[in-house]
Amino acid sequence: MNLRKPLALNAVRCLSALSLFVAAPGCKGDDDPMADDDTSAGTEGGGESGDETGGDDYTPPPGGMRRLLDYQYINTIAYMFGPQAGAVAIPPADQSLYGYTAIGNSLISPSLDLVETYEASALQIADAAIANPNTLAGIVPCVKDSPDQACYTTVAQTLGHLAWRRPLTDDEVARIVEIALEAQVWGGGDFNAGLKYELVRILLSPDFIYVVETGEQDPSEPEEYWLTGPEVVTRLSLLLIGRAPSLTLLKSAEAGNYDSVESVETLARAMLNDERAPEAVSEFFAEYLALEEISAKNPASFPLYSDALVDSMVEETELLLRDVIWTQDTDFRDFIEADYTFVDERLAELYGLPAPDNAWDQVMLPAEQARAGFLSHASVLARNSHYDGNSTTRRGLYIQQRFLCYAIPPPPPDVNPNLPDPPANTQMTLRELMETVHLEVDSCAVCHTHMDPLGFTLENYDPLGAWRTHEPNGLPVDPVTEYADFGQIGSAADLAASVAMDPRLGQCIVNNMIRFGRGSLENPTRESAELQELYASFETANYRFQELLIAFVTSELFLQVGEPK
Amino acid sequence: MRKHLKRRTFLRGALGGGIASIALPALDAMMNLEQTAFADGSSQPRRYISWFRGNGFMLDRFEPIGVGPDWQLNDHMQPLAALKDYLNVVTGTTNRAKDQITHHEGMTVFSGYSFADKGQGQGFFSNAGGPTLDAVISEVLAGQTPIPGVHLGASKAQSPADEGTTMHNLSHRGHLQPNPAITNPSAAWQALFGSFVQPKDDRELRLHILDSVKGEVSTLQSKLGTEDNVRLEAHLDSIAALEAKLSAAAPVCDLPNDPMFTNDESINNEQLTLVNELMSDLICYAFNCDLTRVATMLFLEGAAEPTLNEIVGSNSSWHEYSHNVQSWALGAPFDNGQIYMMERFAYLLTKMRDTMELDGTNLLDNSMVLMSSDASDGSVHSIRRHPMLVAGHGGGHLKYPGVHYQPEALSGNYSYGSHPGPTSGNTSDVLLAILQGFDRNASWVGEQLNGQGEGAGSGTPLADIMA
Repeated sequence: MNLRKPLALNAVRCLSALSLFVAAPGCKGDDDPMADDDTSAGTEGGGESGDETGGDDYTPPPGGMRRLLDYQYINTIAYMFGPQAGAVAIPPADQSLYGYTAIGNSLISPSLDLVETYEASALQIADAAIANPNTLAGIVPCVKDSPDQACYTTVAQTLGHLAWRRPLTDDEVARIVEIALEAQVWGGGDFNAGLKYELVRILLSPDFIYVVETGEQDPSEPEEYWLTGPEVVTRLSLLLIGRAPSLTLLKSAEAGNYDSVESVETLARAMLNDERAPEAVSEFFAEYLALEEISAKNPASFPLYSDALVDSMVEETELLLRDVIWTQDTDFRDFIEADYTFVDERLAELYGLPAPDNAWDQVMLPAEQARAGFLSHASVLARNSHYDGNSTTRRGLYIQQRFLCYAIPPPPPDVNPNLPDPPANTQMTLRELMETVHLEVDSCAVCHTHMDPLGFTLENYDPLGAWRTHEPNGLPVDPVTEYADFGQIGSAADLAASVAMDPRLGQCIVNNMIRFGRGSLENPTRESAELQELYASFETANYRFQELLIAFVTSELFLQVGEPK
Repeated sequence: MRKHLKRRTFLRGALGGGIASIALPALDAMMNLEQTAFADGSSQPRRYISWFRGNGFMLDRFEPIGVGPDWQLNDHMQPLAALKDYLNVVTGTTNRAKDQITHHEGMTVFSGYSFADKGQGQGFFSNAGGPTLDAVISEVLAGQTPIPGVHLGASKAQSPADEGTTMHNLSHRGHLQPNPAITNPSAAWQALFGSFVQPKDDRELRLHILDSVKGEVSTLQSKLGTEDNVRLEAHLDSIAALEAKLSAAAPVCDLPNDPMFTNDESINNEQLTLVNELMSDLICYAFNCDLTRVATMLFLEGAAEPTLNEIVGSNSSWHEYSHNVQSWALGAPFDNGQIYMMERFAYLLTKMRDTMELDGTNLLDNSMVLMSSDASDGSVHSIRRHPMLVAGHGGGHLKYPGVHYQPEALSGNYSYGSHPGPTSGNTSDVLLAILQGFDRNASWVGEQLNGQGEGAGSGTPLADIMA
């Protein structure tokens, strides 16, 4: 094990090149990583010293434990016990911190009802697993073939190993079997009574509920700990296919087959080809784009509003994302500035397009509406609008925070946060009003100048995202504005182009991916070089999102932790 | 399987269905069969509730007229007219939070702890700095009821600009230990009563399982650092909470039915009046059955942006109204909303007053209900003259009829939208006064003062409101 790190580190340097399909002269591991399969890659040995000799500035985020996210728990239950069990798995609600439940589940203490919720869920899961035993029997055949007391031991050893992501000690097996035997007696000798409470026992263990990532200390960099093989495949599996790893993969990792970065890359690429990968990656975008927060609109002003329309809006964004990342596997910036989209009948009506032939059709955006990509999707426009009107502030803030990673500072304590009276008897557009109340007053303008001007360019879209040239009061919309480095922006399409070309976009997506993928904030000071390298990798890979994932999971940012927190 | 980016919500209890309001239990519901005498000599326990509504007050229409025992309700307290004797109102005192992020500092009024982790590169970010009063009281009462406290809310809307635990939670057990509010009445019913209506013939097995997993918790504790050990301690507390529920005898009182209402309407379409009624009823049941003695109600969090359609004339966000001068006149939405909020609070208090206990007293006689907000004047985010309304006789602990405590009159120059003054004292004095109703030896609440004497803690209970 102690030889792994220098080798691995050497490979990291190469892999960031490999993943870009650019040869890196002189690097070990120039071979095609796809030639290895996921159980034979990762040979240890070598023994030559790495190029890192200690004393670097890099300090990884602390190791420790983080609770399985809701979807990871459900997917893992469904994997172990079948879809019926997955359907009754109801984990506790996750709390977000820094925008991500992955960070919340790493830092926030459990609620007092946490275990009650897990227990209620486990009891339901166990009933469903026993009523539909085929999936469980695929892992532990004795539950169908030879349901006897010896099977309780097998379940504890085998299912326990899978659920706890490590082999169990004899004592731990004994503690589980003790519950099974007691329950069997309680159930009048029924094997399944024992099995039910045995499953509950396994699922209620903190070793199932919490993912532990403590790693092994690097001999030459004492503040750096390399995740162990099983920790790596668990972190990878949760991120890329949305559930805990299979027993086969765990055992392979325990055997040392994922101790090299090459083998991690091979495995990651295989996972990205897995049918579950798009859904797992969408879990990231669900939090990143936060489109679950679309509030209702005034039905008197917006008769097209309905819950079904909101679902269609979000689906449109999902379809474009999947098209860019998976179908086309192309430059992620196309998500920002695509000249096409996907519509169903409801969206076609909203956008003023002909009804599609199929449930969903790919269509070109109408040129006269100046739309481009996600920023002119109804989903994001409606999310950042009020009940009965647009918000140039919220639309601008969303772009700054989520795509440019620009944090608007809180106003100074002595600022007057109240909207001044608009000039009496003067009809104004929303833009004119905001220019008066947000941008003419210096104490407001210092922050609002970063938000409202971006929102002005989206004023051609109403709170539902429908095209408009005039406001409800009859005044014409003026979307032309200027903003900092963007210069003059005349339309949503101009705005999209500016955001897409901004180098902060790629960096911001990388930062968010890190937060989601490892459950901790990036640290621009202590991880500076590694972050720069990952930013560069994304750029050199022509912003292909799958390649970002590969570069991330093969970097020290993903493979290392610090001392346990 | 999730098919799109709209995140699933996992609901407990029955889904959908009609709206079925729950009725209060019969008079004989609370069967304190052993007729236990509590420490204060009464036969009924004391209870505590924190009640919160975001974005502050219009002080010139809220602060009572007159001080001491002879005071009159101002316009915005009129919904409480029938309950006036039960009210002790504290105005004109200072929330001594040490630091400021608009809205966040006001939350200190419920804890006496300034917020922590300011900013963190995220703008409006902070975490609560210490436990809120409800959590301190839960700790004092530990083991006396099956449930330490219940934390409920009405609106699901969260402020879009604010991050961290401070603004999104009313109750905290400590730093990074929020007690999130349940906003789904059916789930609230499940949390309070679910385990008591289900058969528990496997209780011994389940207790054995809970005991058995503690071994793995210990192993993890030895491998992990300080922060994760705090979380593992919380995990053990959570095990203990379930053990207490499983071990509790079935309460000898009528248990309510699942209200069968999940509050899953979109933001802006929420039925907050109904949700508040259901949650208030559930609290009364839980108190009357002595399942818990502590509750919090986050009616609407500060800086959240929902449009509250149940307020007369409302068609824009409640937060925006707090800052928009055009909505402040008499009969305008922010004025109407102040009365709407107080009507919701009055619903709870009225239910408590009408819920009789075995000894002929009612819940409000035996409770202390602290109502406040994240600001005094919401338009300027002030925490000067931060109002605190304490309802209930507190089992004889508070003055009855109640008083209006106000160290100095509101400046005649004040109108909503300006910084209120003058101000003096310490809002945490009210917290300590309440706490002493549960722990007569309590001598401090909130954070310790720093070397400069700054800090929101208090060692001086506000005697003026105590009996």
